[in-house]
Amino acid sequence: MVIMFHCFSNRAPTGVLAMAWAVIEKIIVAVLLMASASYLGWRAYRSVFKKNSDGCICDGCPSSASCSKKK
Amino acid sequence: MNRVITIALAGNPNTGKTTIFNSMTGSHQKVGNYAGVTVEKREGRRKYKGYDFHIHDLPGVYSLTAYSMDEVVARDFIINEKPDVVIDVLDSTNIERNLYLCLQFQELNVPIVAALNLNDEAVSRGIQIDEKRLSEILRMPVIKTIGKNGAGVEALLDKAVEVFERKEKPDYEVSYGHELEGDIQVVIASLEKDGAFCARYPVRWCAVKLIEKDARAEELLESHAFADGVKAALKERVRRIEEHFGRDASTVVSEQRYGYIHGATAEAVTRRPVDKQTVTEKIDRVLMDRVLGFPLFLLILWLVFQTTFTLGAYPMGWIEMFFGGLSSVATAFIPEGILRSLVVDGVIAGVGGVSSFIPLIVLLFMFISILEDSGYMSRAAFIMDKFLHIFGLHGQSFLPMIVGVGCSVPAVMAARTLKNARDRIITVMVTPFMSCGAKLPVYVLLAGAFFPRYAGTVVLSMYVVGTLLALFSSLLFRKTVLRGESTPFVMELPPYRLPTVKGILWHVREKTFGYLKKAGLVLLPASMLIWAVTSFPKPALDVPKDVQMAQSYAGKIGKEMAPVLAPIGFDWKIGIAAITGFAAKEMVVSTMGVLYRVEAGPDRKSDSLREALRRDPAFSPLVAYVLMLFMLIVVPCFASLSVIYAEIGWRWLLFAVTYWTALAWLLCFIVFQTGRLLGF
Ligand SMILES: Nc1nc2c(ncn2[C@@H]2O[C@H](COP(=O)(O)OP(=O)(O)OP(=O)(O)O)[C@@H](O)[C@H]2O)c(=O)[nH]1
Ligand SMILES: [Mg+2]
Repeated sequence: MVIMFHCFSNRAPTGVLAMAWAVIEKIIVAVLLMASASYLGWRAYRSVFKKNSDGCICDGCPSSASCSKKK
Repeated sequence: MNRVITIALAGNPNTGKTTIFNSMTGSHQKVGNYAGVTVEKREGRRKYKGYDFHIHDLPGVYSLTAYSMDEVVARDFIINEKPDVVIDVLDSTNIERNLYLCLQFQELNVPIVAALNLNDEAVSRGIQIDEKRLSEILRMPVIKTIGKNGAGVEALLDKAVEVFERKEKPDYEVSYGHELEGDIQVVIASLEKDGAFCARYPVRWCAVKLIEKDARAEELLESHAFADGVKAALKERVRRIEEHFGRDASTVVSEQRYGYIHGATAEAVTRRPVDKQTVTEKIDRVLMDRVLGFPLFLLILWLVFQTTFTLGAYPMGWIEMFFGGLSSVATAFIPEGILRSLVVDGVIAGVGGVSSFIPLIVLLFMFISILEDSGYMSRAAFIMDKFLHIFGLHGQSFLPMIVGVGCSVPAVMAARTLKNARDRIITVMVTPFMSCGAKLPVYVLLAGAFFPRYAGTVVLSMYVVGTLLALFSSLLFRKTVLRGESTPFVMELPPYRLPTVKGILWHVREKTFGYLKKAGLVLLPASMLIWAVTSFPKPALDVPKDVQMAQSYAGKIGKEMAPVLAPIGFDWKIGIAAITGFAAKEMVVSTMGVLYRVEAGPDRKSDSLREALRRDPAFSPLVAYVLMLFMLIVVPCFASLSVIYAEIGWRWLLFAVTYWTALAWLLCFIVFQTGRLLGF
């Protein structure tokens, strides 16, 4: 909550809070990056070796021709 | 437990199979007004009156003698998987030709329900079909349907249940006239000596196919216990037929089949002569004119692009504004630090840069689908056919190429309709030159930044260059690795149909969501990673951001590539951006968003990517143009590659990748060096 408050007030937190924030910030960034990397890797793997359950070859690509959508 | 009924929707191309499939299952498979839209088998489910229907939509075929890959898919499904009921979708306006395939199904002894689809068009052309009479003559249920509004679709399912529940085998009787019948019986008798063979394959079908000299039936015959005996009897009979009729046996068989069809339709179909020219004929008078046809085609394409850009500009502006606002909000709410940097310089710069181009892509797709639905695409292919032949391509290759303007993935698959393997490989290898929709943002960004006054023309020039490259590459392949004549083709010209508003809106919605999904699932995580490799390692001292970036991981990788990049005028940032295009072409724009947002602090938040690029010393109009060229030619995105691999195998894929890369570099080298000498 305190951190949130500091976030909203847009002031760099001071003291203990600053240290806490510096750690939390790093953790958030690290988690996000790790999640992105593993997600993208998994997608790449899947698009080479597997099709989607609904027969989509790539679900990012805008091609109704290769994807079936169920209502 | 519900009982399962497997249904196959089969029939000639462009008769509305997919339309009926969609209406039965509530799915949204691609429908288009030209032959060869569906190239893959699709399955859908439907619960109806206590039954579980497993419905398969098949590619359209003209006969069961399969030539091309999509035809093989359809035939093999019916022969090998033995669906409980085949719903043969017939084009009521062309009933004779459509029944030809239907008779072949009958010979296979599969239970059939016939759908007289496109009934509305038949009525408006004065064709009246007495479905009761037709049903009696052909001994199968016949239902009139209108795929577009779903009329008759439930009746089809009711009939399918009826046929399914009626356990005894259907007793079709395709009559070949008593002359031929005697010969067929002799062949059947010789086939019946092997009981196991008869259990596996429909005997009568085999006999007729053997007389027709069908290669597939001859193949099946090899597994017959007394193959030699059958062959001897067959040879004798074929000789007799050919002597008696004075024509090739296969011609005789198909003549007899048409004769039978003629007899059937003469009784059940009445035609009220319609003396006035049909609308289609009137339109074709102009659009297919020998002289006017080609310029009109170019004009239509030009209009499509022009409208896309003009209309697209409005929503593009709104989206840019939205992300500008988002960026200020994020700056205000997150304290200075790496998290803010990740959100503002990574996510918003990366995803925002691309998102503004969504309207352009959606509009382009929409126009292409209108052209497809209206029936003009087949005409364009027809017009282009002669011209394409000069380059060893096909009118039929034209359709995949146009689909490729949208996305290479379906385009590569559409090449399956080509009968000849060589034609198909060539088409697959040149379709990526058609600049898919994802390359458009890259072109528009660069052209807008460096050629503000001629942006439209510059973007169009990419499409022209791409088409020329496709043509010359295919000529090159024909003359070297894939020698051989291009086979002649017959293109069916469907009648013009007014695309429905519902259909168009559906396309727009689907493309928009498709892109949002791509932005969220691919571009967002990828932007974060790009941000990471450009922000770390953090320098010890407080150095300016561009110095820090040059020392980051990305900068280091970029420097390693300098010997390859420098001759074509790219610095490390451009090189990195170009490489990320491999994941998805729009990624180039995202990466640039991340890389060039160096000076965008809170005070200059309105600074657009375009201006940032213009300010960068490494960029010049020449470099921008070379980069566009590079993006046009170099290997298509990852998704396309995996489809190309599936379609033509890894040898050809390897060849193609080498070819694309070499061509891209060489052409960029020539353009850049000449441009520099000329003082650009
Ligand atoms: N007027 C009219 N048009 C129809 C009807 N059914 C389908 N269509 C149109 O006919 C065209 C072809 O429909 P599709 O469902 O793609 O045909 P298909 O048999 O799946 O074609 P392929 O997959 O190429 O074999 C589309 O433009 C449809 O909108 C109908 O009953 N009436
Ligand atoms: Mg179809």
